[in-house]
Amino acid sequence: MTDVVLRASGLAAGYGGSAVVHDVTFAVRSGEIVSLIGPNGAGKSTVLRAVARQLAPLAGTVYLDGRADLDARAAAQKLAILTTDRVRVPKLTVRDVVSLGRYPYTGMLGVLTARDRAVVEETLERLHVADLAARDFDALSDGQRQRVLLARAVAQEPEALVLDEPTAFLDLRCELELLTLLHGLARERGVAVVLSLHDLTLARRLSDTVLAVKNGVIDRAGAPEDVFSGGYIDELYDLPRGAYDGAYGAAGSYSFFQNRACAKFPCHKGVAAADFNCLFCYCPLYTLGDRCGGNFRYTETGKKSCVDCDFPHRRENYDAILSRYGELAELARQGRYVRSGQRLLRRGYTTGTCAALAALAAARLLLTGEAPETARITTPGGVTAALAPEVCEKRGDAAFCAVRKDAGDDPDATDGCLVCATVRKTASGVTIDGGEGVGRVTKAGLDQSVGAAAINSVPRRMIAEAAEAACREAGYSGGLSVVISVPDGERLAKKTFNPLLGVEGGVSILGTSGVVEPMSERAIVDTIETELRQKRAEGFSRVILTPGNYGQEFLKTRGYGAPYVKYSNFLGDALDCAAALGFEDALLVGHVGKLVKLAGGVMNTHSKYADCRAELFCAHAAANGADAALCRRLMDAATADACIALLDEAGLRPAVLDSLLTAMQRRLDRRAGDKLRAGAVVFSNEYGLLGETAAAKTILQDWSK
Amino acid sequence: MADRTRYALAFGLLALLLFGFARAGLAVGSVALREMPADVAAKIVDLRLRRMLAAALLGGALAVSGFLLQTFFANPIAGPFVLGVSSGAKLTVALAMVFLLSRGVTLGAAGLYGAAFLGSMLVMGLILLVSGHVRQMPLLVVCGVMVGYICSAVTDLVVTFADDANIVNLRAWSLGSFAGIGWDDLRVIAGIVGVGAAWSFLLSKPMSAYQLGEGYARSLGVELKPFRAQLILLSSVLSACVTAFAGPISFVGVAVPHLMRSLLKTAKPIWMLPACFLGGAVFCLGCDLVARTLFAPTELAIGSVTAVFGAPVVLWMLLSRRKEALA
Repeated sequence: MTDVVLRASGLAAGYGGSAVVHDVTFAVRSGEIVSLIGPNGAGKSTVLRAVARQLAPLAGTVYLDGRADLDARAAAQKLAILTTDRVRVPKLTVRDVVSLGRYPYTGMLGVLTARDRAVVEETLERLHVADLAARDFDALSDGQRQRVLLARAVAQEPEALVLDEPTAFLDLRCELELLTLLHGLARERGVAVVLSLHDLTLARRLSDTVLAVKNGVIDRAGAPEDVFSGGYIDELYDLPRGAYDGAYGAAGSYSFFQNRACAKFPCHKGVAAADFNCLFCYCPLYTLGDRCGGNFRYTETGKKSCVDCDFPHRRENYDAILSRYGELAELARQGRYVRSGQRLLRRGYTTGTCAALAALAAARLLLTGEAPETARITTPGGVTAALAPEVCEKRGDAAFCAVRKDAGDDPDATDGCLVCATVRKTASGVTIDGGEGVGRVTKAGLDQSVGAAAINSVPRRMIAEAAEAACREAGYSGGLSVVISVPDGERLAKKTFNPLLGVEGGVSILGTSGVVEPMSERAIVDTIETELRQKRAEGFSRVILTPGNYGQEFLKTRGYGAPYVKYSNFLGDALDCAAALGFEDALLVGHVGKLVKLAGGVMNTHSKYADCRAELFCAHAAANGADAALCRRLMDAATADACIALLDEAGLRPAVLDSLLTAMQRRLDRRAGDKLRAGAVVFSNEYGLLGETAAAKTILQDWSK
Repeated sequence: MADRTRYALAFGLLALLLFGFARAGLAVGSVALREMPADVAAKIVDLRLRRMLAAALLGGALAVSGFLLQTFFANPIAGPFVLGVSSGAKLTVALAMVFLLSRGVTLGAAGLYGAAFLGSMLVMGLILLVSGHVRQMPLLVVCGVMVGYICSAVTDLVVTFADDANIVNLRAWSLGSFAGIGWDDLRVIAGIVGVGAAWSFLLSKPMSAYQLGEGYARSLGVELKPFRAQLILLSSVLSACVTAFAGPISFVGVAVPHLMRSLLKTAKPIWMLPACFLGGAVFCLGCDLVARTLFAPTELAIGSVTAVFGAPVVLWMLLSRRKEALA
């Protein structure tokens, strides 16, 4: 490959003529990060010293940019180092130290040219040490010093960077900062980076390639996933089997550098103490939210703050942090966490998964006579689900088992309820039915036929698979009957959409992936789709879409002749579904405050995504002759009703509403496509009916025929 | 730039002091020039001029030599006197004087210098050997001081058993003085110090890299072996020159670089080297002025005066370093 910057071939190196490392062969490409791991004394530093030309090789060759014969100056222009040597130089400023990076480029007396100075200044900025430029190097903290020395290396404009334990002496935050910088150098400048790290979590996170050094040779090389798998780390460090995974687990699968978009990044720079809002940019515990162990809180502005953090993320606490992190990672490995925006949310299990787990535990008890401590299945989403049954006992000829549902960080109505399975032996096959608290289907259009237990096909399959697995394990060839019950189901069902959907007598067990995606919009959209599907199955080709309760009340007073479906904020999705299901007409009936957003093309009307109500009023008013003073007042108006009041004052209401309705119709036409005719009826609580779009008028005319 | 202004001011101050001490040195002395006949006065001026030139050149050489050693050992308490290098030179010079004079051979400037250089290099070799085993600077300094004492003791022995005729010469020399250096000697001194100081200045670039430590220096392209050899050789050449012609002079090599660092507020060799040279010249001129005028007509040993002014500076440096280390 042409982009190999640094290559060691058959390298042997050591001290006093005897080799500490031998047969070292590896290559580092431009932009690649290669890290060396291994126990103390394995020879990591010796390898690095040899490739950095600090130590003459006893055998083999180091190629820098494909050449082994570069002179000292040419080599220094291509390779820079960061060592563990503690540098103490009284009376040198940070700028002086960084300027020394230009050494290989300067003349006889080392006088800097204008370009050299520019590079130095740019590097100071880039590595966030510009504030320190005039400070005495000796007066810096360890973290700052290390950063300045890295800046020095960067100012050397190297193609390869060799760093020996760059994170030694650093606290967690400095460590993460430093590694972020390295990552940036490699990715943005194409620097080939070789470093030794004692922190395996970081090595795993940061590296493209990991070289495991043991007893003076490269014992294993490869992608982090490969080196960190199969218990190899235990072998490398002579640990008891499973010790590493046990302690740190899949910690590496989480990003440390996740919050670089933070406005305060890097947070300590030029930020007043009162605004100091971080560590959580870097802190691996950030993802734990208020479980981080620090004094985590939200400020009035809704920012996460650790100003009063009483859990300093310092080196002393490193073990504690890592072990917490390990716990988190263990949960992550089980797939129990999911990322939502900046936060990591705990994932819960659906009722279907709980039913399958209960069925598995009950079947095992029935067939083997032993109650399992934990039941474990793989959900259709590929995630392993495991729960300990709360009750697992024989009841006559049946085995009964109950698990408690944990819906995770997005609790729904059934969070915390017991899901039970009663399993009996039958002649053959697995039959599944619903018992107490599981609803029955009473209307067509659902996943199951009328009269069946409201357990969808996906959870049914999961339950069946769990039962079959138990049979296989026990070597049982007969059949099983599984009855799922939710003791509290009938009461809980009243809090759900079930009565609306035609499921009666209890909860329904839906679930497609088997895990509850917290804050999942998917679930809401699925419900909208199900409702629409049902209406269509009932033979309707017209539907009224309404955002919420205001709409429902308005509809009651008007008596339009079509079924209605609540779309919450998911207007776009509702229109898409209606079009896909073959509806002919969709009439949008809603409060002006929601629907006016449509004029701006906002198809998800949740205020989390966009507001722009006042802006739209203002823009359309301005287009219809409103003056600047009115526009300003419109912009300041708190509600849509207030906007209308202002327009009335100016006598502009008809013109502006007309213009808004035209815009809405245009947006609706574009989204609904050719097959679906969609129109909007806009009202307000205060003013009643405000207007209809063009299509809405024709729809209503057709409907009244 | 603020740094540049500071450097300009510092060098201006040094030049001013140099000029002032030179003026004073010519005018002031145990005899008043105005009362002398013209030819005597001219002789006295010539005497004083030679003495001052010697003080300036040798003072500069000492300070530069000290700075080179400090760079080499990466420690500000290193210096030719502290490490025993000056005492080594003193011993060999004394031995050479006594043995050669007793055989009727007169030692010329070159011979004197050769002996001093040999002694410097011998002690330097010894110190380097020890530094291979002893990494801590304080221990190394103690070794240097011990070597210095041994050398001084042997010198005293030699002086004690020397012929009467030689003793007078040796006594004066072993106390240290800028007096009695002839124009021929001065030419040799100017040559050696000029070349040595200029060469040192040319090393200021690798020295700046070396301040970060060997590893970083090597990675920046400094060829360490020749560079280190040059540092040792140059500092020995310069300090031997001082010992050969003016005897052992203490504390200048440590005190002056420290004063200059504090004045310039930088350790950058490109500024420090000229500043040390100028500063050493000013320091020794001033001390010599004190030595010959304070108790005139009795002259003080120059080594005593430099010690009185230099030792407190070194002490202050050590104490402030200690404070920094504690902070």
